[in-house]
Amino acid sequence: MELNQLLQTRQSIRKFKDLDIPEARLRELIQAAGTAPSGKNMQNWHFVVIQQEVAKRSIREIIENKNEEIARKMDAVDPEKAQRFRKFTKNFTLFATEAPVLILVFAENYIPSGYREYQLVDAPQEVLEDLLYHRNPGMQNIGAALQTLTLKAVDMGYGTCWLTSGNYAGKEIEAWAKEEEIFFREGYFLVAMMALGVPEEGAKSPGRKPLEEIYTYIK
Amino acid sequence: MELNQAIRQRKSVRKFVDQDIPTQDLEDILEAARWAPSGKNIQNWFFVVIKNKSLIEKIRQAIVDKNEQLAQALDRKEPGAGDAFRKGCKGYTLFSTNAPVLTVVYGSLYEPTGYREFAQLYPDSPLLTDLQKARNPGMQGVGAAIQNFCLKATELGYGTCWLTSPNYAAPEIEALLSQETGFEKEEYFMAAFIALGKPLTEPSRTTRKSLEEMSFIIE
Repeated sequence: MELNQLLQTRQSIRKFKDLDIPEARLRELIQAAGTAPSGKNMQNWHFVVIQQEVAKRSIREIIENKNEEIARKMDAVDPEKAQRFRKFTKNFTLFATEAPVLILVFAENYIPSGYREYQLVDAPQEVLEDLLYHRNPGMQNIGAALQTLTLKAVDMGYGTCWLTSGNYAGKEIEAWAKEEEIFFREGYFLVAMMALGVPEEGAKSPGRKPLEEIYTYIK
Repeated sequence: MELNQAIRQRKSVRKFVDQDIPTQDLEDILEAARWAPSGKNIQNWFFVVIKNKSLIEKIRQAIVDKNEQLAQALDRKEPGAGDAFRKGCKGYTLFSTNAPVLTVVYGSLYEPTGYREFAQLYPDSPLLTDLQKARNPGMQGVGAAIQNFCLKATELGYGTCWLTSPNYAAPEIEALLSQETGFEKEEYFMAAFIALGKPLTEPSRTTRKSLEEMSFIIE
């Protein structure tokens, strides 16, 4: 498909048809994601692609449990907020575990230029954190890979929803993947999930800010 | 252009033809960036697109000065220790100020799901940094927008190089742009540069990890 058409028709999909995706197509998709650019070409990503119901259910339970754990503590402080938190997870996170394919995205940090140098001259912790975490080049790479994956999925007739709302259960999901001997690599952690499948019709796309609001042109 | 072709053709370009880029092309490229996905559709990106040679020269100087300052601090620790850092800057950062168009990309942090809840329950927990900055959903969104920018530029026959190596001079560049152009946006900070122009030579393609090295399929 033409790039322009893809860019403008891509939208978040949260309802999918109950159809499997052949492994060959999944491989094509991941291959496309892997072509994304990354600082020093470090390709700091790893995709755990789950089609298996049992595994998806495990992820669902992990998120539900973590959500309930936080919500219960919130009940004591602010019951209304606790309830909102439960509801948000139902509507905007758990749907992903019902998609035909759930992709767990793992990543490692990128050491920014100047970081080691700042360390050597004993720069304050804030300066180091600003470079590594705040401006976070490593996560910019991940954004490129996931956007490429998404465009490729639309090109193949699939829909995606890219979500980071499961990240509060990140440590628990990482522990599960390690225990199940699915994925563990030193320094890698969960950064996002991607729901994938053949979209049900009727999804609405939110608009975008006008161009004038997102750029300044200096001639 | 077909998506597959744009993905394959996109490469980091570091040498450019000294030729102006029409405003219409710039707007088409930004239009592509505009359609990237972001958490809760916050569209937390802003592009300062600079053609003005004297401003680009000032940016170059700000990087050179900051690099030299840090290199001298390294030299004081150990004579000669700053040389590699000086050389890296020449080879991998300053080329971007020779591009016909230099875009300074700003972004902002995103408030992740669960963040407010954690902040209320555990105001000093390292989990807050973990959620917002280590897994940084905000910079994932910025990465998606930059990838759209690069793919669209490729389609129009341009080359790009996305770099975060000038980020150690970000505070100085932010101050400079504020002073010279008045650009400031609350909570937004510099996240990356994109060098843009017609490629002078055909750059070589970097290699990629094999699928097995970057994914795991559970069926």
